[in-house]
Amino acid sequence: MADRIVILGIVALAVVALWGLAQLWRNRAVQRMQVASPFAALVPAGRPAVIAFSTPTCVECRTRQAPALARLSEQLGASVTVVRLSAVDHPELVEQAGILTVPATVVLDAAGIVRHLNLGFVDANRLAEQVG
Amino acid sequence: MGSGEQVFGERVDRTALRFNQASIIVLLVAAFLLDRAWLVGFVAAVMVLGTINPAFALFQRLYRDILKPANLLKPDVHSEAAAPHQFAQGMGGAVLVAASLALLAGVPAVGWALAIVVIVLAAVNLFFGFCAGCFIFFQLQRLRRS
Repeated sequence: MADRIVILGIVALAVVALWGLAQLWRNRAVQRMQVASPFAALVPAGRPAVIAFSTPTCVECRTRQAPALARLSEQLGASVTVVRLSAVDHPELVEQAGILTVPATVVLDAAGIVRHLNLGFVDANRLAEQVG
Repeated sequence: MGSGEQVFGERVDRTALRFNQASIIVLLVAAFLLDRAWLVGFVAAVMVLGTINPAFALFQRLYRDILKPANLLKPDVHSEAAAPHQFAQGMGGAVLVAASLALLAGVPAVGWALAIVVIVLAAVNLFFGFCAGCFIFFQLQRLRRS
């Protein structure tokens, strides 16, 4: 059994290491976007915004993230701008934002500065917290 | 917001999903450590039957019928579609059926490797909330376009 415990331990360490690398990637992407601000032209200035990336074939985007964005809009009304973009049609933004999967959401503050990058589904409450 | 957005009226209890994933992980880890191929077949059967008919989802029934009424676990209900979760369970069940067949056919390396893939994907989803299938599909799409 000892050899099997070692195998599982190695697999677990590899998963944790990969997850750590993904978090580093995400943090660096946020830092890059705070300098380059690639979304400035997409959202009106003066209020926070959520930019959501999806693809036509992404079931999770359609069945989970889209309803969560609708609830966020219901909760916060006009105080937040929600923009939905196709990751397929905006490869340059996907590249600049360091988006590795969909659904993905980018949260900007009222000054247009990127504050959060979420890779994967995020519910309406978490997005509302990030919007502040 | 773009057009075509749908708001789903379905209610999903994420505690049931998490308990389901945790049960799958614990049983598959036990199967691997104790070298019990039948346990992989059992988990595969539970997942496949639960996909065909949610009433047969044994681990979720255990949560709903025993753990929740006994207040041992608290519900965490959200409005979202259940279909992606069912699909993921079906995919996991299919991989475990293949793992069981490989173990039965005397190819344990393949069988256990497939079971470990299911453990990893379930654990990533349980602990990090990350949809590995979405990631792989998106990266394949990007590769095809570049």
